Amino acid sequence: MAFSGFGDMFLVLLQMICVIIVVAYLITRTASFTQVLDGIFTWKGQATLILLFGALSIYGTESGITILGATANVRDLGPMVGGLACGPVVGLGAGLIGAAYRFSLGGFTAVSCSAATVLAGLFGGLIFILAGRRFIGMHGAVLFAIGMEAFHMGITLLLCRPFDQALGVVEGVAVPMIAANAIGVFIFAFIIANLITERQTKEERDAFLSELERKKAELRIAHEIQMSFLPERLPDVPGFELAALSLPAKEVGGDFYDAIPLPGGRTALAIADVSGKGVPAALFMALSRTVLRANALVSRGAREAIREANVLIAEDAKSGMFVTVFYAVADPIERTLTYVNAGHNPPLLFRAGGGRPEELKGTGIILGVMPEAEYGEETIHLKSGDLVLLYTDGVTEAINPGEEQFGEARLIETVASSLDRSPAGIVENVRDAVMEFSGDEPQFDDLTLMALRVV
Amino acid sequence: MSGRIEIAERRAGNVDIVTVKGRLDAGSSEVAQERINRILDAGGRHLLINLCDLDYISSSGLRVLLATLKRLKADGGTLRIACAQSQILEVFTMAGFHRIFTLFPDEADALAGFTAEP
Repeated sequence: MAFSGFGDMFLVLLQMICVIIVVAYLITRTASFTQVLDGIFTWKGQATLILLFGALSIYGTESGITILGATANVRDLGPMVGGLACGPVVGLGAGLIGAAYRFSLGGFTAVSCSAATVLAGLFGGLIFILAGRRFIGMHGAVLFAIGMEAFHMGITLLLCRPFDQALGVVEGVAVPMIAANAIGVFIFAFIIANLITERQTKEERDAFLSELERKKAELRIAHEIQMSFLPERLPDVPGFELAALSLPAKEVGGDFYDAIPLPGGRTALAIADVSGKGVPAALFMALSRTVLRANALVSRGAREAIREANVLIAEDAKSGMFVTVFYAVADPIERTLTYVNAGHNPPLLFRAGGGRPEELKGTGIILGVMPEAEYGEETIHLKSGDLVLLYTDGVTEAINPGEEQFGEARLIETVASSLDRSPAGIVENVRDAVMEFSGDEPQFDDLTLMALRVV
Repeated sequence: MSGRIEIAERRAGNVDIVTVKGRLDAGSSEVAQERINRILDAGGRHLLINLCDLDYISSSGLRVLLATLKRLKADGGTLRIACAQSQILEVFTMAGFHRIFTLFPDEADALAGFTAEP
C-alpha cells in the first residue's frame, strides 16, 4: 500500500494495532504458548509458535506502508515477541519465515531488511535466555523493540547502496517504524505480563482453596469424632436430676462429659477438657473418655479410677497433651458425692439454703502429665435441692467484644438467679447468658455444662 | 480474638530468658509456643520463663509450658519458671503444675540456681 500523507499512515498504523491486539490475544491463549510459560518446550508446540509468529511477520510486511520503495512495517514484531516470550528457537524460526517472505519481494533493502528480521528473532531469544529462560517483562521488551528497530535502520544505512537513497528511506520510515514496533511489542508484553500474573494468582488461589478445603474437612472430622463420643442421651440418675450441654467451638476443642451408671444405683459423672484443638484434641478426647469409662466400671472408687486412667493416658500423651477431669460418683442412698478433681475448673456447689457456692477444688494433677501421680478424693454430703454445676473454661473464658471474660462471678450470678428452675433450665440459662455476653465475638473454645440436683 | 500478650527474649550466659506479659490464653498461646519453639530449635537448652508480669493463664497456656517442659526433658535441657503472681500460682496449683515445674519467686532467684548448675 502506498500512501502520501502522514494522516493516512497513522490510520493504517491504528488498523495494524487492532489486528496485533487480536493476534496477540489469540496466540497467548494457545496451548502451545501456555506450555512455554510453564517451561515445557515440545517440538510440536514450538513449531506451532514458529508458524504463528512467522505468519505475524508476513502480515507485518504486507500491512506496511511503502515509502520510496522501502516499507515502514512491523515485520520484526512477530520474531521479536516470539524470541522474547518463547526462546531462540521460536524467535529464529519466525524470523526466518518473515525474512524469506521479505527477501522474495526484492527491492534494494531486501538484504538488510531480511537480515534484521532474522536477528530480531535471534536477539529476542537470547534476551529470553539471559533473563533466566523467562519473559523479560514489559519495560525490557519495549526498550528492546526500540533498540532493535534503531539497529534495523543502522544496517540499512550500512548495507544499502546508493547511500543517499538508503538515507532517504530511513529518514522517512525510522520514526513510524520504531513507534509501530514499540507499540506492537507493548501490546504483546502487556497481554503476556497479564497472563503470567493471572496464572500466578490462579495458582495461589487454587492452593489457598485446597488448603481451606483441607482445614474444613479437618474441622468436620474433629467435630464428628467429638460428637460421636458424647452420650446420645444421659442415663437416668437415681436420686438426682441431671442435665448436660456441649457447644463445640468452630475449631473444636476437646471437651466432653459423661454419665456412667454404676452398680448399686450409683452414677459416675465426668466433665473434661482436653488441651489443644482440632483432630489431635478430638482423638485424645476419644481416648481419654474411653479410658475413663473403662476405669469407672472396674475400679474400686473415684480415686482409683482416676489414678489408673491417668497411668494409661499419660503413656499415650504426646507433645504436651493433657486433660483436666472432674470425676464424681453420686450415691443416692448415702446422698453423697465423692469426687476427684484433676486440674479441672472447680465445679460450684449451690446449697439449697442459699449463700455463696462452694468450689469443689483440685485434688490432683491434670491427667496425662505424670504417670505416677497420686490423687486425693473428697466426699461431700448433700441435701435435697442442692445443685452442683460442672463447667469447662469455655464458659468462664468466653469473651465479649471488649475482650472482657464472662468470668466466674457472672457464672455464679447467672446460676443463682435461676436456681428455681430445673437443671436443664439452669444449663440453658447459662448458655444464653454466655451467648448474650459474647455478642458477635466468635466462640473460641468448647463450652460444656452439666448441672446435677439432688431430688 | 487477639489476646493481649507481650513476649520478650534475651540471653544471660547460656540461659534463654523468655518474659511473657499480659494474657496467655487460647488466643495468644500459639504465638508463645512458636517463639519458644524457635529458641529450642536454635539449640536453647536452658530456658527461664518469666511469668512475673503475666495477668492470666488458661489451659492452653498451661499446655505451652507443658509441651516446652516435655521437649526440654527429652533433649536433656532444663526449664525454670519465675512467677509470684498469686492468680497464676493458683491456676498452677489447680492443675497440679507446682509439682512438675521448678518455680522461683523472681527472675534473679531462678537465674542464680541455673548458673550454679554445671
